[in-house]
Amino acid sequence: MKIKIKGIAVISVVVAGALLLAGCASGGTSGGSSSSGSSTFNEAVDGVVNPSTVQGGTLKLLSSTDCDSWDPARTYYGWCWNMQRIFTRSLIGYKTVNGTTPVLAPDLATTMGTHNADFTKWTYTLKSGLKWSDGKPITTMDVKYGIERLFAQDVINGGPSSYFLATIAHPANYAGPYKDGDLSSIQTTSDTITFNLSTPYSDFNYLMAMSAASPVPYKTEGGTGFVGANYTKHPMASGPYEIQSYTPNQSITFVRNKYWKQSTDTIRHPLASKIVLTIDSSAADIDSKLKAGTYDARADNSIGTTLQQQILTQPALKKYADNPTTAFTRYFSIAPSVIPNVYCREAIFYATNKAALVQAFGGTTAGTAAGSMTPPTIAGHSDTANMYPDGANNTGNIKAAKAALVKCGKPTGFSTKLAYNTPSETGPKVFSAMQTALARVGITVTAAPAATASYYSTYIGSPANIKNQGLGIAVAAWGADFPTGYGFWNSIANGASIIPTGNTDYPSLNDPTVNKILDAAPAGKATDADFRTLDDAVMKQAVYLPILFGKSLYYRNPRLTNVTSDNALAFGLYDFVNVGVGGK
Amino acid sequence: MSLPKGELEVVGESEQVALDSSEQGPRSIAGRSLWAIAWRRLRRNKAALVSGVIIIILVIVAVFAGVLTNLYGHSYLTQHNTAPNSLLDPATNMPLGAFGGISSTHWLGVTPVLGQDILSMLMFGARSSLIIASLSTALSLLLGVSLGLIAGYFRGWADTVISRTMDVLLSFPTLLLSISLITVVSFITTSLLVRFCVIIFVLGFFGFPYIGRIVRGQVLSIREKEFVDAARSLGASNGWIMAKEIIPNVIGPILVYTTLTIPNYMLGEAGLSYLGVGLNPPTASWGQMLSDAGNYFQIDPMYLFLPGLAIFISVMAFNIFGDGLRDALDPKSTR
Amino acid sequence: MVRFIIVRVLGAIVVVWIVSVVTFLIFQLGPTLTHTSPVYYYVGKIPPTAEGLKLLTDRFGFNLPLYAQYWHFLSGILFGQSITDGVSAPIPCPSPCFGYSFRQNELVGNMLLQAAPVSISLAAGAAILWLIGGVTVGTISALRPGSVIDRIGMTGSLAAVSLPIFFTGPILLLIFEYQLGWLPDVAYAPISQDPLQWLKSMILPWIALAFLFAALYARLTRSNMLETMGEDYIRTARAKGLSQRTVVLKHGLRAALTPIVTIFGIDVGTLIGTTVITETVFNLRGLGFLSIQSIQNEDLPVIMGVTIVAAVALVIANLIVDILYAVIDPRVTV
Repeated sequence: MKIKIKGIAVISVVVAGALLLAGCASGGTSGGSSSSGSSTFNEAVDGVVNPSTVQGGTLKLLSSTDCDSWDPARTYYGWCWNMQRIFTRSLIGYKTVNGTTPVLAPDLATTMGTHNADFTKWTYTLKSGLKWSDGKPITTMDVKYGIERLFAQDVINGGPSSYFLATIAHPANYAGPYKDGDLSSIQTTSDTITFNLSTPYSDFNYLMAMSAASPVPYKTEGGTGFVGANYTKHPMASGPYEIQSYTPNQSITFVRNKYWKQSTDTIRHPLASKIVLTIDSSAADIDSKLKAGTYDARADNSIGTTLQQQILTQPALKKYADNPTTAFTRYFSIAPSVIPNVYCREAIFYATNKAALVQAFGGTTAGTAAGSMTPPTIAGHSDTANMYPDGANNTGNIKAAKAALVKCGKPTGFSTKLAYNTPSETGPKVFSAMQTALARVGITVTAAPAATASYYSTYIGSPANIKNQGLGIAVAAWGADFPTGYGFWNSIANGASIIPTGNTDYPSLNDPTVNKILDAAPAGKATDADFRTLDDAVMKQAVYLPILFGKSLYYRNPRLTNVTSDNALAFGLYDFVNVGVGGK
Repeated sequence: MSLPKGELEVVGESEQVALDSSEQGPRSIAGRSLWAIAWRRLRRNKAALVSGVIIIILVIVAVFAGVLTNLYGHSYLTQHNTAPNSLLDPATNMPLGAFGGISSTHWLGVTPVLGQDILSMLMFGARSSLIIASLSTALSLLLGVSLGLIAGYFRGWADTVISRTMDVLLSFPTLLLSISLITVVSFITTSLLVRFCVIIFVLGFFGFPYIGRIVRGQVLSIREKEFVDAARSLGASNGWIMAKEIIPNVIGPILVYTTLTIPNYMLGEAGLSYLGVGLNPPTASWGQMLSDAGNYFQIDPMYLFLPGLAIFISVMAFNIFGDGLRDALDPKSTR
Repeated sequence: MVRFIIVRVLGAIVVVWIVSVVTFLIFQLGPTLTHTSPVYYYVGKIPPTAEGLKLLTDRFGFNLPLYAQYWHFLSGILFGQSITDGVSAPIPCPSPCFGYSFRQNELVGNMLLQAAPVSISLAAGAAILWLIGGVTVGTISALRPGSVIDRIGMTGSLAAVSLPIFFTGPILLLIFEYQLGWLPDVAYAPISQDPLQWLKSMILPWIALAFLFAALYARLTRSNMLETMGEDYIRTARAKGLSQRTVVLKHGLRAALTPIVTIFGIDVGTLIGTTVITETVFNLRGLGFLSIQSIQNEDLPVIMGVTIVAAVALVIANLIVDILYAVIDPRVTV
């Protein structure tokens, strides 16, 4: 679950696949003209805006918060994964990040991983001539060490460690390299590295494309004083930029890493000579700076309400904006432990007013009403699937809802609670919209706001808490950490992943059809059609009520060149590593 | 510090003293004639009278919010956000029309995003505000008067314990503790009733030492007066003396304090709601409206302006009235 | 006198201690009542696996009894401690050590040090403005009681007290930052780095905060002045033929200001660490911002740190005022 900051928390998984846009386009020769070429609304979503090869200049970015961590192993914010792309590399990377089909490519490795027949053993060969920003060579031990760190959960926390812990074979009590030394299931030679897994995992290349899988200098890490938890203050660079200075909660400056060579990197084509990210906690302030052109783009989120309104009403501004589809679905988890009768749950499905909910989340630029769970970037997506038709304008189907209530034996409705996280700009509005919609058929909803900090881990992430507090409906969002059907579904729908705390299968869905497909998938035995079947099977249980497929609105300074959306890692934010500023 | 004032933090040590300073010396003898004089003085103070009328209107609105919004024809829970009944610009989610969608049907316009009627939301906000302010004031009075009375009348160890406790409470970073307490309670239950109770508790409890100190000081000096001695020498019990001799003489300052505390707690509730630890939807609250309006204030300033004005007028009315009451009860007053 | 001071200082220490116990208990209460390990609140958004939970429980000592956890915290403040990050050599954290925020990966002390200058700038600047403004308005009003100026001043100050900062703040921002564009970039900069930017970032918050307090001080000054000006020695001074200016400034104001100065001390002390709303409205990353942020994050070590700092500021202010009073006013029992 990559996390999108604003709004609902999200656990989103990102996919990795970036499209390739950048690769081809920027490498190509578009004549090096710099800025102020023509530009149209949404141009960066599937294409490249202002292709250019002009080098130099400073790219000035803004964000409202600092990254959760700059340690590649400890970050889970989508935008920070996008920032990691600037200075860290991993065995595999995303060659194409925009459009709807992200594409993987070897990055530090010479080729994609090779695997045995049952996907339990994966081998990669390291390119030669790779160097850290201090000039030392990047070795296979560094790659191995980077992965081993993920096991030290008392030190390295906050990133997507659980994928690695669940797949890589390890002794039961292995607590990482700091306490328990090296892990024997990862074997290295001078240029190869082999991972022995405890379970088949056909999507392993996607794990290797996460920044969490990037190398960390063996034992020395970031140098004296920058080991373990403190690596975040001075992470070493393997990518085209290195950190020149970093003041937490204020700013971070990247300059070019002279030891990085274009010849070893087919994914990144850096143009700017410097990238500065400034943290400004006022969204209104960020909006006015972007509009004034003193900064180039917002790095962490959709633009604020004010600029959004100006963009949508002024064509002169709108042509510099993009509204990409992001790879996450906002939904309600409807808990069978609280509402056991499937017809009562169906009544909620029919009575829901998705049009109003889309409004509550920020309107048409925030997403489009969803009829099923699978978002457009994931296998099994269907534009037309909708098991619970909710009227022409997605405002709900009152007749069907009332019929379902009769079947449930509660023709006059029932009461339940709706959980949402707070403080949040959208949470209370989503509640109000839902309350109004369900009141139309006699279903009464009361608010259950809970602090964001523990909402996902111990509030709705605890099946017992959902049951005890009677949280029939819970606001949630999910995006895959990597863009495959398995990556999207396994954590939220596999009965085997239900855990007492920190659960991500909020309604505790445990359905044999679903489990069977998800259990077969890691062995490479699930087709796109299987995932469509899976989606239908999930919807039939009436526990996942999809609201919308998310979209975000971004604004780029007219001077920017080579701009494309990063839908793979970062909800369509711009792929900053490849962006140029026309040399200035 | 108590929670009051616009910035909750602005608590009023200064205000406290301002209040004390006008309270010098009990008006022992006056008895009933004092009230008559006070009422005559108050009637002459036009600003206070106007404020009194505003307060009465506010109370009526709060009590009859349901009836009034029915007459007006719009519940604040109704959302005008989807076609064909939308009052919002479909692209931007902002109210259509000038000044936040003010029209002959929606007299003060509608909110962005959900399109809820602002006037009826303000009316229900008045109800939340007054319920919390009056109940927490009642709690402060209950604790402050009884403890102040005990401390001042019996002195000795009771006074020491109570006074020290009040001193400690006055040195608490009350706001931080209040936010923490409310946050923690919300892990355990989301019940609206509990939320109301916790807010009333933190406002009322952390605020009681102010009234406690005033009452104690008054009682300390009154108990030395001749008429108390006289009663005592005639064999009156402590209870009788407190009820018949002491309390009537501290009612004046308590009344003034009450009028000035209510607006402080109104601001307190609004501030907590603004910070997201006060009332949550669907309960209407002025502070919560201001908090939400902060997201759109550049585009829809009316949405910010209206609840702000509601708070301003209500709080100002209580303050002016309390001020007038103090002057009226003050024998030294020239009015 | 010495005994008085000792008693007062001891009292102040007890107050801070009680504050620390109450805060600690409040935040132990939540997890306990919901039967959740405090580890989940400690590490934040990504819950650890079962093995991770065990490792973290050990590392932070959540398996110890409550009093031992509290003592660990308290002894850090009193004697300092060394913080281990689980990897390298322990980081020395000298007294007063408020512990380590696992969420922020930083010593709480450093976070407090980073935030404190913002809050101190805010409180100090606003205090100067409100003292000057309040006393001026109050004095002018008192010299002509009942006049138009007096009425305007007093009604104005009643109005100002009735305006919450979360209303005046956005309006100031709307006018000066976004409409007029006079203050296009209000990001905070330390005064040592960029005094002009510091001033720009502080001016609106100062005004908003000072407005509120100035009103109280104006009323206070007025009533004190009125009282003082009626005293016999003022009449005597006038009789001696001193000019109105001398009488007002040298005799009247000086006497009227003494109580105000003491209150001023307490008000400034109260503001340190508790300007939550002002800092939220104006996006200043001071102690108030830090406190609300850490409460929302349930980051216990930071909450404890901010709360204690705020309590200490308040208690010290009270203490100084108490002692000054004792020095100035012989009637205070020593």
